[in-house]
Amino acid sequence: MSELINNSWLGWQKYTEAGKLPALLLAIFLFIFLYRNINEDLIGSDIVYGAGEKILYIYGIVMTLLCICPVTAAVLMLYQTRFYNYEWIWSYVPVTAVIAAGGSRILMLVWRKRYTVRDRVKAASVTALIVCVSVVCGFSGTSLKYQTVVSPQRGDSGQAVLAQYDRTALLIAKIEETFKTCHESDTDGSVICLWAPQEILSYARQYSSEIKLLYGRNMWDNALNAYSYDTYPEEYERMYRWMELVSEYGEADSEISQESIDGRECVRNAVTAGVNVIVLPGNTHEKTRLEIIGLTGAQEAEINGYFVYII
Amino acid sequence: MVFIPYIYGRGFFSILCKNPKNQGYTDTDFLLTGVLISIGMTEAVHLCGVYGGISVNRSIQILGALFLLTAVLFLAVCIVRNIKNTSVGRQTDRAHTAIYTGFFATVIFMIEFIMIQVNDNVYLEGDMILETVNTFIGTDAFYSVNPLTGAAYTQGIPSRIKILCLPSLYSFFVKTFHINSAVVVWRGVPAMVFVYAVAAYRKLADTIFLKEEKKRNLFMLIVAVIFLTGDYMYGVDGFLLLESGFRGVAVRGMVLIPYMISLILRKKRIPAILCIIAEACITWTFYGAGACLLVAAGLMITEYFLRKIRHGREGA
Repeated sequence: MSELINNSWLGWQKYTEAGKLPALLLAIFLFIFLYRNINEDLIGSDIVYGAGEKILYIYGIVMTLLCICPVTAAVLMLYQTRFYNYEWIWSYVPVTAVIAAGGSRILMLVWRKRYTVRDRVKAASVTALIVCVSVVCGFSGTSLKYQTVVSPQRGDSGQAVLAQYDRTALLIAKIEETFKTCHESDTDGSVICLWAPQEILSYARQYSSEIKLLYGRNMWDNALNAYSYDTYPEEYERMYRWMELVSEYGEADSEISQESIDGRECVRNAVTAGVNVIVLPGNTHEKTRLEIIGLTGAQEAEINGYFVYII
Repeated sequence: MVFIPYIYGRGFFSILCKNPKNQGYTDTDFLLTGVLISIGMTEAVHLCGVYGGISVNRSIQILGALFLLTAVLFLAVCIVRNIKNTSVGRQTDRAHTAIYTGFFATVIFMIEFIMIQVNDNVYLEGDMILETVNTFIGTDAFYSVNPLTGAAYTQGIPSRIKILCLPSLYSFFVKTFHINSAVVVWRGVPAMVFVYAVAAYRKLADTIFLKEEKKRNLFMLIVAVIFLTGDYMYGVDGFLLLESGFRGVAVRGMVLIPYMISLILRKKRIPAILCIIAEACITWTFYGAGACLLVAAGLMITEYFLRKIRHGREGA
């Protein structure tokens, strides 16, 4: 429970670090609180809350407090199951609806009197200010947005998911063609079992269900492990790490990588597990490529900047 | 996308009450309730497929037939009941301000719709809907292999995940309209969800500001701005809508919850129950008790206490 409370507190900090919509929400609550007892005759009918609106605000205030307080937030996190992170308990707070309802109240208040030029200038200024506050509260977190996105390719900000999908689709279509040519004599209808860098594997099954993989996106995206009870054997994890080291440094046993994994063992394990297509990134060192040719007896083909070995 | 769910909703309310429009239900209610009914039908067929051993292709055929038959049936119900468009007539104060704000809100919503169509960003963390759709269609079976690898399951899959029906619905779109699965999941569905989300928030605006068109349009204008500026972090409404509209959590957060709030505020409990059930069909909730249930309970408790306080004051 203490871990959950700690997570909820850290979650609140993260939630408010990226963008400031919660601050805007609290500002709206402050406005509602300050104007709750204003005499109707003095301020005009715009400030009289309807029954539904009042329920929405009070519910919003209570749920916001429950989401901010670490203990109650931990209880809400338990309720929504541990699969979902802290930010999801904010689904219980109608943030957009409350901000919009309160915001339209404020705007109606400032636009109520527009008799003179001064009134109009004042109203326009307040409106512009409110729009600026809304924009700043949201957009201030834009730079942090993609830190939460699983980047399928190192160095990729995560912004080019569809572009990477298209690149992978092109590559796999060409691999399929080459594979068919190599295996045209096969009568057992063999399918591609692919071992490739993360940026290819991320999209392979999204492109086609006819491609088999030794390990999928749940190797690096832990949230996906909740969808299955299956786990990967240790040698698959070593194979994944080896492939990622090769993608990054060109080879897995260099001094820069500070990690050494036996590539020969990984390739042998992959072939034993049924891999018949290996894809290496274009920056792979010649030594590693020759090792793969030696171990698998496959011919090397260069397709779209990748080295492809069809076994 | 709009017409078929609308027919479902209209037919459903025609069965539920004699003249839905006199009961305070509007076209937006028909559309959104129709979406809930569509989810319900998909769930029924999906469960038959998963637990009854029916193949995916056959399930898609059954779902298509069910959609069509229900549409014909509900259309017949509407005609037989001879529903008149006797709306209770919301009072409008169409001043220039209302028209301007409505216009600006529409422009921003259109920009967002275009953004969904041209945006190169899709948030994929923790999501495997597209792989699941491809695997369903490729293997012609439900969860026979792991969608992420194509290998047979060794330990299996939680049944709470198995019952979620969105992959079946998307497979239906892919097979019926012969469109690439990535286009359906990453472009088509988010566009549909966006339209439903705008409808849900419009309904909420109508509920909160019953007699004030200006405020309703201002509400929608601010909602449009918040969608745009809120596109900064996973879990925030704008991000859900613009970057991951195909997920169950996006449908829940952007369509089900705002619509359910409007229903609870209007004391329309039966369609609100549909929202709670629909959530269980599309997102992994706490074994059925999800966000919609908590929000509904919270709103009803708040209403109860406010009523008590008011009665107490009146009594004093």
